[in-house]
Amino acid sequence: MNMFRFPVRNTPRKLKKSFGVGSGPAERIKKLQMLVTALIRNERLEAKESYCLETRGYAEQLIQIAIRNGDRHAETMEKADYWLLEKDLVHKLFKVLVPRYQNYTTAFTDYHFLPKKVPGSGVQMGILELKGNPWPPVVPRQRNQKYLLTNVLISTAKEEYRMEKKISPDLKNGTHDKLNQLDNT
Amino acid sequence: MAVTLIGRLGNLLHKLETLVHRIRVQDSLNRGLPTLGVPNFDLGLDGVNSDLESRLKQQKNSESGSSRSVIDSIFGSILWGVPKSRRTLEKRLTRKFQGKEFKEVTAIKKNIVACLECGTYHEMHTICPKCYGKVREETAAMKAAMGEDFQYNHPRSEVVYLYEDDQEDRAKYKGKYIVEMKKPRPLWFAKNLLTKGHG
Repeated sequence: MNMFRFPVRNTPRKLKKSFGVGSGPAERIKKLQMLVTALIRNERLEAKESYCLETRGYAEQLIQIAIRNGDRHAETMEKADYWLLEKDLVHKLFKVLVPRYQNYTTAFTDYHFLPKKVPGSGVQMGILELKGNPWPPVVPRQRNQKYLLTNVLISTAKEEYRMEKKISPDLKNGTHDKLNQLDNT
Repeated sequence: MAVTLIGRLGNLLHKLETLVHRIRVQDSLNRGLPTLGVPNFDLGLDGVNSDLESRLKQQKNSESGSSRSVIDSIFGSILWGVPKSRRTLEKRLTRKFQGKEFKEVTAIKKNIVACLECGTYHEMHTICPKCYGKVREETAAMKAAMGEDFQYNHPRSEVVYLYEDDQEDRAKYKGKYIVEMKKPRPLWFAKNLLTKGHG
């Protein structure tokens, strides 16, 4: 059963050096717990790409279980207690996020790429955010570019070219019917 | 200290002398020369001596007159091949800048676009760094306006941030946690962002 609403990797990322050199799977889970709590509290997160995409799955699964089972389900509460290290967020999960995402058909989170720093270490950073958050948006406002001056000029030039193409064969033949029609209209 | 050192050195010299002597003997045996000054290893055990002689004869037959094999067996594992000549500056530089990171930096990027809001250049798949800097500052101000509740006791309802301009909409957000922002709404953070603008 695949409950994710976004593309998922087949194998989990190992997240080496999540707590320095020599950290293994236990440290990875510890880091992910911290990141999931941070995401639920702040609703927007800035981290390395691999960390963002790995927390995304765990956070989304937690919300989905909360929506499906509600707050009177032992296993769900256990999971919420495990993943949310700060316990005031358990209330937020069931009272704020569940009503917000109840009727969603898409994923609950968004991921955006941040530009790499040059010169820098070359690490790909990203932003992970919950949808419907109160913060100012990261992606620029969509605009209708049809009425920009350059686009208007290009479109009129295209139309003119098209009209010339229509008229030219008639001019060669010597019939000015179409031209007259155009003049009349 | 000095005495022990001298003693050790003496021991080492003695060992080396015996080794050289043995090599000489082996060499001469291999070449079939008469062994002059060879000490007699007669220990009163005829069987052992005969065995040794037979072995030496076998060696003599197999390695007909090759004295290098013995020396190779001793020093061969120590001495390795080393570069004979110095690499030129040209070659060194080309080898130095062959790495992946240099190629990534020097390659021409064809996916650079201008931001729709402010016009700064960034890669197409990324978000605008300058606009994101503004967003970060604003979010920090919003979190600060909420106070300690944000960090330690998060409100159990949706949070709404009301600027000075949006006081008319206060009735709309009934039952929600309202945070007062004591400043006018920034221009780039428009109220209704989902509608499409013209131009």
